[in-house]
Amino acid sequence: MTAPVAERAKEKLSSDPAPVAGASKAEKLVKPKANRPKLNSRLYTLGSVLVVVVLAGLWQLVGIIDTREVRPGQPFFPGWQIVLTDTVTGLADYWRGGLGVESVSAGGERTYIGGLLAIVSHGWDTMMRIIAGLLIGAVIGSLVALVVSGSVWGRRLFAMPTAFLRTFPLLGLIPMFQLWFGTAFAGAVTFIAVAVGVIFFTGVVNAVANVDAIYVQNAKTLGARPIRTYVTVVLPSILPEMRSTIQLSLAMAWTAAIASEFVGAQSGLGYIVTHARYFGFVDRMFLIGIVVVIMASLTYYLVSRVTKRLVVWMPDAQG
Amino acid sequence: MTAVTENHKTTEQVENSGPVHGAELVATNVNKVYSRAGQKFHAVEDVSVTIKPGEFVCIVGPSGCGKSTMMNMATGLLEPTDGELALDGEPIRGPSPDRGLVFQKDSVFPWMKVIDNVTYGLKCRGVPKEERMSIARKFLAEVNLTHVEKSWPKELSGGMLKRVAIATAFSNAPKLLLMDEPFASVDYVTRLQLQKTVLDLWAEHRLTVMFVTHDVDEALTLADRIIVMTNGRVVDDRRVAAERPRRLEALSTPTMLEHKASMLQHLGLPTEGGA
Amino acid sequence: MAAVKAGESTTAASEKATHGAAPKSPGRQNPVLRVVKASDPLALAGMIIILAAWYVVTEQGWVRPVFLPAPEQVFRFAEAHFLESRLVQTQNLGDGGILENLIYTTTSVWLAVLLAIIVAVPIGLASARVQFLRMFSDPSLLTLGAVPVLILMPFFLVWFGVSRNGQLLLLVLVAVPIIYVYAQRAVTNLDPVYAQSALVLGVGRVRLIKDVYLRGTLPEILGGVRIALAGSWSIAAIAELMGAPQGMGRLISTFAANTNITGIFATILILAIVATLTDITLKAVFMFANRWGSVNK
Ligand SMILES: Nc1ncnc2c1ncn2[C@@H]1O[C@H](COP(=O)(O)OP(=O)(O)OP(=O)(O)O)[C@@H](O)[C@H]1O
Ligand SMILES: [Mg+2]
Repeated sequence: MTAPVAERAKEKLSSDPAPVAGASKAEKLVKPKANRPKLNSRLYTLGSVLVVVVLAGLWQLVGIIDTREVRPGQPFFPGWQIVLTDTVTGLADYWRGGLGVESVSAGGERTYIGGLLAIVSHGWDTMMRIIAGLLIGAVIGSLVALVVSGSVWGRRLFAMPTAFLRTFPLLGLIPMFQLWFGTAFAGAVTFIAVAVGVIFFTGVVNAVANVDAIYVQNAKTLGARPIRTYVTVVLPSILPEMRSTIQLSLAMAWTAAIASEFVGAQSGLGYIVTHARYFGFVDRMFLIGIVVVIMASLTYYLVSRVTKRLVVWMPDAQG
Repeated sequence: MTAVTENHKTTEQVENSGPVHGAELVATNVNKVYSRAGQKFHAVEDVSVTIKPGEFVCIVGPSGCGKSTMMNMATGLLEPTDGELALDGEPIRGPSPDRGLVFQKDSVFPWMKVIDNVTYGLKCRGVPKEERMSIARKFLAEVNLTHVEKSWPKELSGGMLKRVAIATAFSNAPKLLLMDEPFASVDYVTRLQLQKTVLDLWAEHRLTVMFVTHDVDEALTLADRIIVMTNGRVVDDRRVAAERPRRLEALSTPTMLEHKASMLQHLGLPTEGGA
Repeated sequence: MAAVKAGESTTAASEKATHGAAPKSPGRQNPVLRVVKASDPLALAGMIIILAAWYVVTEQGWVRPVFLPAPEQVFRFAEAHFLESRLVQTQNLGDGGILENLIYTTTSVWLAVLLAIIVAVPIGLASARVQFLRMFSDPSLLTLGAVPVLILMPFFLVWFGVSRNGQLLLLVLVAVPIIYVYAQRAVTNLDPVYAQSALVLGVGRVRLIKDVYLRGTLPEILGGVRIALAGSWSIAAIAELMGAPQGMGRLISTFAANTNITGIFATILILAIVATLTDITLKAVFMFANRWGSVNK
């Protein structure tokens, strides 16, 4: 519902022509049927709700049918009656105390408040890593790319390294980053920043390469110097393409954050999941998983909202 | 092709001279209503015409008067809201190779080479390879495109693509050929050339042709019969009995000028003693 | 080919004379040759500069070897452990060397993308035309594409144990939304006139799908496959790192446990090279499939 691609898909739909009444069989085969602008967003919402309901129901059903346990008392597929009650209080284990709610290790009770505080505080840790990594990576990646693609020579020199970076299995390097920068905040942020930086770098380099030469030539014939051409022609024309780069980098930031928390971090939502796995708490993993999905979807929604503004002035902005 | 067929005849003469391959198209009280954003729009209103086998009919009318809608219904791509169309007595339901259509847009598949495009309809109908190749080569020769048979469509010009579409339509041996403003985006000289190509093929294969155009002169050059449509209705239906081939001068004979003036009047153009 | 071209040049002249419309230059060329021709010697220079920088930085001792091993050290390690390695064998990662693990990971990635194609292409193509399908496929698959699917890996480890199934499933779930979107958009971009034209020519349902919808959308779908594949190597590495019977990711986690930096570098670079080679191959396939379309699409 909040995916970048979803936005694009919806834009596409609403631009289609009006529907045809009494369509024949042949019409049905060839006419784009997805052409009901008003009905569509409603259908989309309806579909989303149905999908969520069906998935939630399926989860419960699997839990009823398959009653295996990881260890006594810890089912493979914990139903909602567990996830929304005992699981929340159980998560209080991960609250480190403060705000008048004592941590469980210091003798505090397992309460709903404690569980919620744990979710919020670890969610906050993850979010801060993502935001810091995104900002640092975006700025550095774009700047390096702009310098590199500022001249034709730079673009040609870096074409192959850029292609190499595009497929580089960066997530496999997490252990290296933890050796270099430690497993605390700095290690995670650096890793996210590098992952995001690579996406911005390749995105900007490609966008600059895709700028229609006619604009640049036009600016040159009007007498603009290279730097001015760059600032007034190249930068504005890569903005629409930057929208998908930003969305892509957000996806990467989330994945990198979760990955670094899986491997060695001491806090964050990914850390809870790994920790819970060692003790067979599938219910805790499940609840945190849902929190991650909701948070990630919300950040997509916000970013796609904000970046849409960025490109509205373009006649054929397609983000 | 190069030996210009000086012995073109009027329809009546053609009918006497050999087997007519074309079919008869009968439209009875055909209506088409579109609904646009909840509002109904009558695009074709109560059209009844009979087009005789082997006839060359042009449909003329202003933009948006329902010509394409009419053609699409005759092809079977669209269904009439009310009324019926029939080919040789068979009601039209869905597209069929009996009824060919040359689209207004470029419809040549860009992912197939020219020869594969021209043979495609025959392939769909299971014609053996040898045979379909020889049929396709024959029609490619007739539209002067033998030399690009192995080319990709992207390597051809707009007029050449149109000729590929025409060769494809003719290869499929339809009994009724519908052409929807086929030459609208072609330069004047190419257009004259293509008109001649179509007339030659028509005279040779004796099919029924329904040809949509905006251009009154083009209609007068090509047609046995011209139907004028405005606002979804047939407002004029006339025969053009002039000798063929009709050269440029033929368009300035008194009868032709009279036809033209009266058609323009039907199309809503005020004429001050035009004829 | 030569004969065709010769015939062309003579008839093209008469063509020009009669119609004023000459055929555009026929861009018929071997796609592999085209890739080779398109590659730029300067690009290679860029690669060499980076390697040289790596060499200088480690040679001069500006970076300690614990952080960054020297290139020749990495190369020697890779060479020594590629086919047969005690280091690999004692860790229970197969009875070969790095190569065996490389094959394991590569197979996982290719197989997963293949499965994703089989799932995503039909749904993507159909969703562009069937509103009822799209109403469910869009919300589920687009959301799947937006959330960090990696979060599922611990679940797979609990449910399936340390096996290949979990990694395959994860890789498929990452690739499906990407290929789905590309397939759907390809159909949306395909002018309906082609399907109409095929129907008028008397096409059947199977041929319509095969000759119009599949062939007309193939280049765009391959573009999506290329993007999905490019991202898969990273996911495969992290998934294996978290728990797998074998594979390059497992190798990395083992080397990391022994702080064998050289081993980590050798492993990741070998995997990166295979990933790049796969991408180049797929690019050539894409260019071949798109030989009828605009080349820079
Ligand atoms: N799918 C559709 N939905 C709603 N209205 C339509 C649709 N197709 C055509 N119309 C309307 O029906 C009318 C007739 O359209 P049609 O395409 O038949 O015109 P035409 O005579 O071929 O025009 P032109 O010469 O410009 O091609 C137009 O007013 C058009 O807006
Ligand atoms: Mg029309």
